[in-house]
Amino acid sequence: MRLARISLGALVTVAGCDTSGIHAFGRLRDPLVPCEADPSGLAVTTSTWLRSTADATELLLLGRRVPTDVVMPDQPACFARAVFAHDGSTTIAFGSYALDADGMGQATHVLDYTFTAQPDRSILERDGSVRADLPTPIGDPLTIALDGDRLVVTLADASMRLTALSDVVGAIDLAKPGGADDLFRLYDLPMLTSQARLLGFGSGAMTQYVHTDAVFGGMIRDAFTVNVESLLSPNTTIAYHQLEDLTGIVVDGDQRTNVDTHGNGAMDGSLGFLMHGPGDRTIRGHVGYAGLKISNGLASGGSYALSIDGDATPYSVSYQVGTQLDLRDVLPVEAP
Amino acid sequence: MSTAHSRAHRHACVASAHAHALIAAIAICAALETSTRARPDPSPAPDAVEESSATVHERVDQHSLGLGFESLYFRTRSTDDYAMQGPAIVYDYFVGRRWGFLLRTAAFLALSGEMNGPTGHFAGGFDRVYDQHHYGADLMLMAARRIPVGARLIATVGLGAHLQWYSLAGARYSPVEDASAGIGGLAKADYPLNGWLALSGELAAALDPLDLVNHQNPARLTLPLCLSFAVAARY
Repeated sequence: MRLARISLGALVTVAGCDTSGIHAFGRLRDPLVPCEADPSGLAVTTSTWLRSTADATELLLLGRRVPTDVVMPDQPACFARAVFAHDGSTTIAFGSYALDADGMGQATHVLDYTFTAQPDRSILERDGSVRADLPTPIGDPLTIALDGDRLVVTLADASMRLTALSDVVGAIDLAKPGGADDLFRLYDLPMLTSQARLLGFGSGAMTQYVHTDAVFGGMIRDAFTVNVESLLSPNTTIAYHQLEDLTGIVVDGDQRTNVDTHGNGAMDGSLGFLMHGPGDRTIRGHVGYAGLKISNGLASGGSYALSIDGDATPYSVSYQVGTQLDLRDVLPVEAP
Repeated sequence: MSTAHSRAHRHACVASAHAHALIAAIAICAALETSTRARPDPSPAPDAVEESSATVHERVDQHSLGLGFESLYFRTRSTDDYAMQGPAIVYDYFVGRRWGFLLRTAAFLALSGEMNGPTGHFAGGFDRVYDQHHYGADLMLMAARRIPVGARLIATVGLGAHLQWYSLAGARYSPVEDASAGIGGLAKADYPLNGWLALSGELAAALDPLDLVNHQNPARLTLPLCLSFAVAARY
């Protein structure tokens, strides 16, 4: 019996190791230098742009409110490009950019984040969110021009026609069938960008956060923290503190996942959110996670409870919407 | 008597070296052999030799507890080279006669480290970086042989399985942790103070080619080395 306990302890210890390593000595969990922002959140200093493709949603975050503003090379502004596949797989390239008066410049990235959805694997075999720290920044030619209310961007070989995030918020109509699903998908974008930066997210490597409050800064403002209760009870709390990862969407509150070592259990907690649309339009609301069932570390049943301030109607969003991140209802595919 | 004694030492040492391939054991044996040769009149102190020989034939249960200094080197698949070092607490347990079973455990506190390679560079202390913990543990299960050397010294050499785990963790930094397995061995010299108490010095080393964690960047080879001094008690 004693030997069995010792063996179990040894196995838990080994199984509890962070599988995303072996990391370099002194490697920061969060080396991201956020965009220059107004600490009060009153002044907008960035702009976020979106487009749909056949199989993904793409996003550009620029460290200027007016995207065509000149950015001097010796004082670059933040730049992020994120791609969200419909299954929730996310890649983010984060760095900076410079732009001249003709709309020509260069974007460089130094941090590459990847989260790959791997529902067919057990939670201990998944890669989870990983980060590559590039030894030297990678630069790509960049052009930016406004075409009416659209942004036309060429980045390396890719041409994009993008819509302002606030306009996508404005396109959401909760009265339409599927409107709540669209709102949830939009709300889910900063959740995905934050989770992709949370090293080990979605895998057994989350055990690296046992007994710690690891802090990750927002790409624009404020932060979120993560804490895992213990190796044998890997209940996880992700606390969002007015996190702003995308321009005009702020998330706040605690999200808890109460699971066993196989990733089976349920979620709990509620997150408040704020979305700035065009003009004075804002959407405030909450997403409740209490009805969500988790199997193998993934949402497998139940629904998200979506409520909007000033709207008496409660909305129930199926757990499946979280892995159907297709925004084409409110963000149609546009030719570059 | 002198020649036979010297030859006996030489055979024991060569056999030990072949059997265990421990550099440290060879060094100790060579030193002892040299000292025996250099003695013009060995004056073998027959009583002492007989006592020493008798000692290794009787059943021994020996516990020893001491302090040491551990250095740990490892190389990962990304071809990064790491080293860390710090003090260790070492516990040994031997049971047997001439041949026996030897268990060695150690716990160490990694105080500083260095790293070089394509992933990054680091040199410095761990107390500020890994503010949550920075420690490790070591286990060896060995077949061991006790060899009388000289009038009072008893050498022990062992070879067997090695298991190790370490973890460095800090709130702001990604953890560095691993569990590895391989072969390990030690060479130890006991200097009896009386019938049951002895002072001992020990050099332990291991070679771990197995990374037991399913790491994305696994350790290809881990080499711990520990020098320690202990007080041993037998009954």
